[in-house]
Amino acid sequence: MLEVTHLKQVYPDGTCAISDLSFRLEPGQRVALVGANGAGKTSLLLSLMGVLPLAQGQVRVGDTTLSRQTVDEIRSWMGLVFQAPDDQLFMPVVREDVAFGPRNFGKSPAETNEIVDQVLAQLGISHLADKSTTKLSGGEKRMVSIATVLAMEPQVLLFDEPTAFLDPKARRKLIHLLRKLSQTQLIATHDLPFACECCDRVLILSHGSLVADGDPRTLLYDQDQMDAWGIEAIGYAEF
Amino acid sequence: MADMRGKIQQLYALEQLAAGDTPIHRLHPGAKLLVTFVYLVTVVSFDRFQLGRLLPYLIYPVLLMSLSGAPWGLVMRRVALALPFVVLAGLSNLLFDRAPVLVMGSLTVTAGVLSCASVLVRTFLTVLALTLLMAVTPLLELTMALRRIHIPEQLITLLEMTYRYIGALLEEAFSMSTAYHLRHRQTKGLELRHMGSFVGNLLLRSFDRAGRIYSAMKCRGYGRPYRQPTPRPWRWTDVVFTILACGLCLLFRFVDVGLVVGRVIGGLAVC
Repeated sequence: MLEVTHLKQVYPDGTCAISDLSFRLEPGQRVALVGANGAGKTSLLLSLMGVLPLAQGQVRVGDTTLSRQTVDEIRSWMGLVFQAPDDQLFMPVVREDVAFGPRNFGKSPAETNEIVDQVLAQLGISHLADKSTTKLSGGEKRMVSIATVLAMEPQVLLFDEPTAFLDPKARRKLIHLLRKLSQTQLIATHDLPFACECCDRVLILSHGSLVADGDPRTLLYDQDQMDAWGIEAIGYAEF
Repeated sequence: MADMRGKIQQLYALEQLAAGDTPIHRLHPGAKLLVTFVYLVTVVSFDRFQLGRLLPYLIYPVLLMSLSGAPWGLVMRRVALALPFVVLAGLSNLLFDRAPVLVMGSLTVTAGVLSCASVLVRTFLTVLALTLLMAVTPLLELTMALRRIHIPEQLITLLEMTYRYIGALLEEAFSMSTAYHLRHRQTKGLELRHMGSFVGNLLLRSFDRAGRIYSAMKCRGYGRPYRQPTPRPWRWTDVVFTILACGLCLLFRFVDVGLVVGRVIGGLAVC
């Protein structure tokens, strides 16, 4: 479904954000992407969407390889939910924001309205349709951000810190939602209990390289190993 | 900057109104755009001394506001934002054009007074018409209509981006100002010595934020060769609205309605 081979990404100042990264996600898998600050999680997600150019390597979604010519096609199959909902929601009204993607991909106004109603109902936020995007709570903003991406009917969903800014109840609601979605999901997160609860596989990044790929219930509790990668393991406490 | 949050809400208040569902909102965006264009052209085409001829042009915005349910207060506040700039321009007419055009007893009306009033009235009417267009048409529909009439893509993109980034700039200014005042004894304004770094930081932060917003837009298909959705067909109500509104604008332009009404009333009085 999503295959990344020998991916390398370099910032304009020459810093290597990602080096020689390879992995493959199977259809319907929910995979956590874990790493310390600056490990390259967000850069990886932006590279997969074709927002940051690849210095080297290949990204394939289905049978299509990411390139300048295919970037639109890739973006119609893969959706990214940004870390800060305020960056994702740029239209004044919720309905308009959710309709932005489908409209850009050539859906007619009638089709777009139908998709918007359907997605808002799926997420249980139909009552927010005509609300201003600036008047939503953090949890509501997160749900609307997800709706804006789901409206594009993607096959792969990428999330950048989806539990950031959420209270425990909204976080719980999000976990239920992600479990219900049938799309392949790659979730960058610092919230390790969330990763354990939500995902059946974890990829661990350290300094732009993939250092581990396995079961989150095993990897994320390994204090020595996690410490070596600069991440605090679950259950670690210092009093 | 304490009420900046309110300013951000105000910025998008018109767009929220545009999501309404009244007969005016349901009109084809192309019809509203065309009528507004004819309205603007006819209003600005008057001579600076034909002040009285502009008054019938109030009918269109008043009708539009009443039928669309747009709140007068909000619309007038938005229009008022543009007026101070024009007042400054109009004042120069008062100073430099002092030729008398009308003498009523001891009161002399100069050409400058008339042209100043004319500039103010014309600005008021045109800004009001544009504000109402924004209040009854979502920006997306408006830009689609502009694309359909082949306005250059660069201009439309500029319009869309400006509209979105003003909000981003205000939000960044709001959070920076809050952080500043929480650590500073001065509760209003900025100290002059902090102004430079504040404005510099604001620009850098807004630039970063704008970059992230643009990435989010690109991820949802923005900037790809625009695939025009099938245009909504014009209905008979759109055609009737366009013919009536454009017809009225042209009538007011070429016929002195005030004079005609005056003659009719005068004729009736004689009879």
